[in-house]
Amino acid sequence: MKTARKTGFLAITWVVPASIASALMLAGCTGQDERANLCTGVEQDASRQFLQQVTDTSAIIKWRGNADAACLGTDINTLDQHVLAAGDGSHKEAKLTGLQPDTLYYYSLGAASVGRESQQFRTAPAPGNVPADGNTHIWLLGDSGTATEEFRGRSPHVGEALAVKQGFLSYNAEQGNNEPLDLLLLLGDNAYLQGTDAEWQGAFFDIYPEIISRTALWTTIGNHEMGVAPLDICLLFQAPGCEKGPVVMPLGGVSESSDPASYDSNGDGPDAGGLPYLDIFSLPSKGQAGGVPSGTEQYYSVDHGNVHIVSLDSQLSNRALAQREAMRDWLVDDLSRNTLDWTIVIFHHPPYSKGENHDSNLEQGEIDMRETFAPVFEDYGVDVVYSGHAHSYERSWYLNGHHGMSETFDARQHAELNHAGEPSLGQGEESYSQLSPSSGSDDKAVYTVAGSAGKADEEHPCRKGQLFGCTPEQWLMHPAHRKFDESIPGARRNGLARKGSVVLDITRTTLTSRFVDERGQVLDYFTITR
Amino acid sequence: MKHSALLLWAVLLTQAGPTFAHSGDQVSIDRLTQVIVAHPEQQSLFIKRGAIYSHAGRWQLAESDFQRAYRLGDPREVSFELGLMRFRQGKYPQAQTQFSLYLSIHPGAAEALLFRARAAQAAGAPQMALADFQTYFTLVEQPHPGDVRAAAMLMAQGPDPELAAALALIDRIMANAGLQPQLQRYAITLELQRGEFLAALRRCAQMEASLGGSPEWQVEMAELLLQTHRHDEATAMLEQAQLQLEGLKITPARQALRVKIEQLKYS
Repeated sequence: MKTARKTGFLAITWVVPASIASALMLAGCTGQDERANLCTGVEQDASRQFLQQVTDTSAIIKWRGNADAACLGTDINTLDQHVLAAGDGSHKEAKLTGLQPDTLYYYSLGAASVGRESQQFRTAPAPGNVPADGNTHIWLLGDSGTATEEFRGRSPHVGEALAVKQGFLSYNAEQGNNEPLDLLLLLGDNAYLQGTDAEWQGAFFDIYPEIISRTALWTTIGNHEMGVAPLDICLLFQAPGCEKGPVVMPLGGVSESSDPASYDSNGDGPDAGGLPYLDIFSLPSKGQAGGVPSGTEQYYSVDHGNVHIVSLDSQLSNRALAQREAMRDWLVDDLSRNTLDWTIVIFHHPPYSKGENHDSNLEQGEIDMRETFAPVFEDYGVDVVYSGHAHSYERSWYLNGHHGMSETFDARQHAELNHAGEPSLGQGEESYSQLSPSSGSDDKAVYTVAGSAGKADEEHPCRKGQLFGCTPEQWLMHPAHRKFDESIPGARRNGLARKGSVVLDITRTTLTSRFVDERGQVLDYFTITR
Repeated sequence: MKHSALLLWAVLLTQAGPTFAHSGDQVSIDRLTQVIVAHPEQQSLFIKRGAIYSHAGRWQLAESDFQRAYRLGDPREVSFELGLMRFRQGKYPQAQTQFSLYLSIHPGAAEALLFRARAAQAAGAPQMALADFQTYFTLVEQPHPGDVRAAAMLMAQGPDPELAAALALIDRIMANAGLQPQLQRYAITLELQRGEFLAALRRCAQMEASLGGSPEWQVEMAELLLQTHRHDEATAMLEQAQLQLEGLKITPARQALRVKIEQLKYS
């Protein structure tokens, strides 16, 4: 484990601009200048600041604020590398190059020569290497964006994302030696309900500022990142008002478009700025972070030491056949190239789920991800797959070959079995082996649905004849997922209706995934060894 | 109604409990109707309401609003949303007509071009589709690789395939966005289709850095070398791939590749 750089995380004073449009930009050349006398400015606060594309030799500091340069150094009191920022109209970016692998850097915004503890990051180890402390420490957040979820003036989930964050911090302090995070992975739906820039501010940048100013961040697109679309609820059931005609409303999270330019924040047509997610995040379309170039920021891959991370686009590219096929072909190339110890895949729509309102037997996006991509994961050595979308926790057995509907799952055929002929749990003596004992090949993966970092579904018994908006009988009962002791609060046969997030620790020889609730308790884990 | 929309509605309902969970009250049909009553002369309001009805599949109501909008201003302003509705209805030639009307007053409207291309493709008019795809690609900064490949495939189809044009499109896109294996691999197929084995080989060689010189890439190279009768080089590539595979963990794909290498070595 790493020696903690400090206990917990420092808080920063954040200044949120009155208007996003008023954010100032100073376009300029990006350049790294080592003349120490340029780092003589004053630290300037930003309304958001975060790290992008942190590799073994480079990184991007991105922010919104007045500072037009950053200074960098390995000594917090002597920041001597001056980097001018470039801007795209709403953010500024300082592109840092020539960095050393697995090295701690401090930075300032506004070209101050002295850094802050809260503004630091560690570069990735060189490809193939493990960090000096031997462990890559990763936090995964699915559907965490509920701080901005509102309807009719009510905010039903205020404080829940913060509680999950606190649960992680408690876990990290009490059971994780306060090990600093190496990576933060977002599983989509991290800014409810429409994924507007303002919602990203309120649900993400204002919730995790002390973490994202010092942790490499990788993301994927969820349905709530893609604005609103009109829906006539009378096509679903007889709602009040349907007797007079359609009750059509623009709803967040129901867009079925494959075109990011069609992003519509409020139902009055496409927004001029396009999809905010693509404006906010700077993602590697040209293989800048080690993977095969994808040609689009909607999906990409990354090498981080001995870990390969793939982010797929289950929201947009998955909806148009030509785009989905191109993404699949890219994935095959990317995974063929990959020789690192471990492979993680993230995307929003889970291929296996009996979430309360997201059933992988029914949602086309989930079916397409399962049928098109799960065979590739199995053939090309993917170890773990993480999704969100359903606001609960489900974790599969060690799977291979199950690409159909839930009722076709047969543990004897599709799961790694223990000596008793039951599916292995992945814990203790039943830890999974990367090279499956039954096949001698890396042909299995564990699929985790972790969409409860901002809220957890609750049971809503169905009234007689009610088909929608209530809890289906099969809720959290997908047989491809591990079984739980149903006496645990929130547990059903194959899942947990509990708020929480996932912590992933990866060494040279082990990968351990834990589900941590808002009190910092580990409610599930599994280990894969190699 | 697709399952996904239906279920997403369900989750929103669940979130809301007895009330209705959405964030767009200000633009709901009811509100919009109130504004229309106050401003019955505004064309844009009818277009907007018609678009909402159209997205929701309520064709008759949408049609009624679009007809009303027609009479309140330049009819061509209605044409984009009307075109989208025709597209959704599967009436592709009519959709093309509407998009053309819209583009006559908004010639740089990228989304209208993209949809006119798709409508033309669906209507069996590949040349028209291609012309629009080409223009669309000049308007968007980074077109999706899937759309580019779809356009290239259109060019390469039919009785008189334009292979050179398809290759030129791919190369133009990659000149801006960088080499993309999804596109380059299709370009290799096209080179082979027109008998340009050396060009195919060159393109495959260009992927070495992007694909990290993987065993799969070595085997692809070897296959192309064999087609150009460069057996010694092909054998060297295959042996190199075999050597690489020995140091890599076993996956089903790599097991299949080993079998393929053996077959190629003794072919």
